[in-house]
Amino acid sequence: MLFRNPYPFKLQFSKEVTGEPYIRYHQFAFRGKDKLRYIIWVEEFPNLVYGISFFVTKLLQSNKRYEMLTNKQDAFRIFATCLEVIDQIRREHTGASFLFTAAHSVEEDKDKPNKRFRIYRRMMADAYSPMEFFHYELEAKNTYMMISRQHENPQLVADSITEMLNTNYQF
Amino acid sequence: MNASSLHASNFSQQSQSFASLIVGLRSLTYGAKRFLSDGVWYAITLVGVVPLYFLLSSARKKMRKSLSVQVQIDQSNYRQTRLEYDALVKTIDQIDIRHVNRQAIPWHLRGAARIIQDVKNLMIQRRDALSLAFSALDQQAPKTSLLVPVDQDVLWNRRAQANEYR
Repeated sequence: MLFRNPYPFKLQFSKEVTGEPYIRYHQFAFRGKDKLRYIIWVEEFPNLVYGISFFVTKLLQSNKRYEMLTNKQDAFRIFATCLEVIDQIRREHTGASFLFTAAHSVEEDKDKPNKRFRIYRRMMADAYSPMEFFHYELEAKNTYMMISRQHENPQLVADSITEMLNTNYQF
Repeated sequence: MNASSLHASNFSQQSQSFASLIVGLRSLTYGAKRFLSDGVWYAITLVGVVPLYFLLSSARKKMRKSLSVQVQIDQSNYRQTRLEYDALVKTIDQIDIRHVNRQAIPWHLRGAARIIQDVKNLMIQRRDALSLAFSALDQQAPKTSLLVPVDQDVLWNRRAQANEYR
């Protein structure tokens, strides 16, 4: 399996938020190849929806933190670590759904599905059964989504995600 | 494993065995015809048709018994059921005799050909039942003006199928 050997990670903190579409966020951290530090940033939206993103810690203040590449040839272990975080959340919150947007690398054509997005969709199809999640992709926005079948009202989740994306992110 | 999935698994194995048998018989025919004259080959098939008919009808009987068109897919059996479906589609293709001109089949082998067609129809029944169950899974997905679900078939073909899900 491509996405194996995750790095050990820890939850650094969780914080309630006001004035944002998400209600709280959780910051996970781990060290990758060459001890480079990474942050996995999890935004928690209503109805158990979690948005997952990650970046190198030293780029925390940068506007381009999601677009920069480290060129460490370590992507698959980093993705595997993100999958572990997803697993932890779904173990703790039955019915949790997940959302990812793949940022373009600096040199990529913004009109086409980017490389990260293509990896994400392969990774999600590989890891999570359609019996566990309804899978969605918005290719034009490089966004992938999985709505849990175990949620008591998946249609409500779909509606709330649609409204949230339309209102806050101009989808 | 419940009774329905046990039946399904038996049927799947029997389908593959049946396909192997047909592929073997086909190879035997092509191979033998290179070394034997038409008359000798005709005589051999005349003798062999009785055990062949017995073998094929016995296979048909067992497969009829183990055929189940009740399909219940859940998280625990999804991968297995998908693998069964893919194998069945391949098997049906392997034993396809549509291209064979029926009039060209010697009279004494037409009964055997009919049994092969019967067994193929059983496999098609199972394939269609599985296909229907998979389509039903896709129908359950919530839809909105923005969200378009990815069908399970697309997801399945995108993944490394030998891998277990997390």
